[in-house]
Amino acid sequence: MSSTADSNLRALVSAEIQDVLDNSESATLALGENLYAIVAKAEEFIQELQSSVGVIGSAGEGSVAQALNLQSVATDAFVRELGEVTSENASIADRVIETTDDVAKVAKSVSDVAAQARMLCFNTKIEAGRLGDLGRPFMVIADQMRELSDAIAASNDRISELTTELSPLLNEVKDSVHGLHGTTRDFTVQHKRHREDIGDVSHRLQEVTAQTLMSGDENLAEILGRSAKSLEALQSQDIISQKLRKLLAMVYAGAPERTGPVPERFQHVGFVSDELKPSNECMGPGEMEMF
Amino acid sequence: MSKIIIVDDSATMRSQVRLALTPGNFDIVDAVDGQDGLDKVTADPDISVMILDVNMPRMNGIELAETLAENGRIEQGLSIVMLTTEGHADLIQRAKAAGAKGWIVKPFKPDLLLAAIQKMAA
Repeated sequence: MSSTADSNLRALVSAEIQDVLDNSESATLALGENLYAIVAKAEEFIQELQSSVGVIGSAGEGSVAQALNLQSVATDAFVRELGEVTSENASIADRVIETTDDVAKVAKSVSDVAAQARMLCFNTKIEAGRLGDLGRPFMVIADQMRELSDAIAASNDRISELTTELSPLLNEVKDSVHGLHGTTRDFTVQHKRHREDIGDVSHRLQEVTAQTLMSGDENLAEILGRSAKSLEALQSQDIISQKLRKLLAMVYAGAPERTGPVPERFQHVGFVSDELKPSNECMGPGEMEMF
Repeated sequence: MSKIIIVDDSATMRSQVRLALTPGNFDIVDAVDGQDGLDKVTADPDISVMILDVNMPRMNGIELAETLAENGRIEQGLSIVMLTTEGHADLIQRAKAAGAKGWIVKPFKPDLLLAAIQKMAA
């Protein structure tokens, strides 16, 4: 009877851990892809911004004299080009913000997985308590799982925190780009009103462009830095998953009559260094050595 | 275009490495464990760089590197970079003795990995 209860519990725990692992893996996969998408879009945005400033900057040189000498048709064409470039930048900024929202959604689903794992630990402990002495190994497993799920939750909280911090930065960049777009429109209006105003508006356009570039560069550098930190946190989650897989293999091995043999994907997934004597000359996380 | 194989049992890690290498415009293939990596690199002589995890089912990364040293694939021009959570000196020494060109401990920095692979593939 006790033996049946023991193998039932092992089978239940292994099925639940596997479920948590699968959910966690698919969520982190999606999170990683979205974070890379943010980095790619931010880099694309920097390039667009820099090239548009090149267009505006070259047109701005000697702008007063140049603009006054421009024929209406040529000026209109120039303004149209500026409008297209700034409009494209604004649309890229919008897409970056949408992707950040996606990351926030996936981060939420990782949190749900961690909560699910914590509930599983809780239930395992109750069931193990009922088994008395036979349940002791499960108490240990439940404690380890609890530790792992806390680590997943902490790592995910960090990702959520970084993503939340990204939003105001992105909105600042977006406002700044939309402001530039608005100034370009002013340029057109002013041009139609009075040719003499062109010089002033052109000067203003240059100033706003310089401000946009400055704030855009700083904010985008910050965005790239924070995204890189999120990606590192994501890799830490994957390392935690590896420890969970090892735990799962242990549970499988304890109840072969119920769970069958350990599936191939969970065989030999321990840490090779577990079999070695500890060394003081180990490399630490993030370190690299080329031979 | 250099052909690269990522050997790692974690889909998340394979995806992250693949995304980190995107700017390098490489031809990238995946392997899900050491045995799969051995089969693929043996069947495809165009693969010139291998990014190799250590802790994997069926065959671990150290065993794979040693097998590739024994069968002459490393001598034929395959460069190996180990990318793993392990940092034990004995394992690093074994990989180095087998002919691996570098050792990176996870979590990795995407720009550093890209720079290392670009240098190796050049």
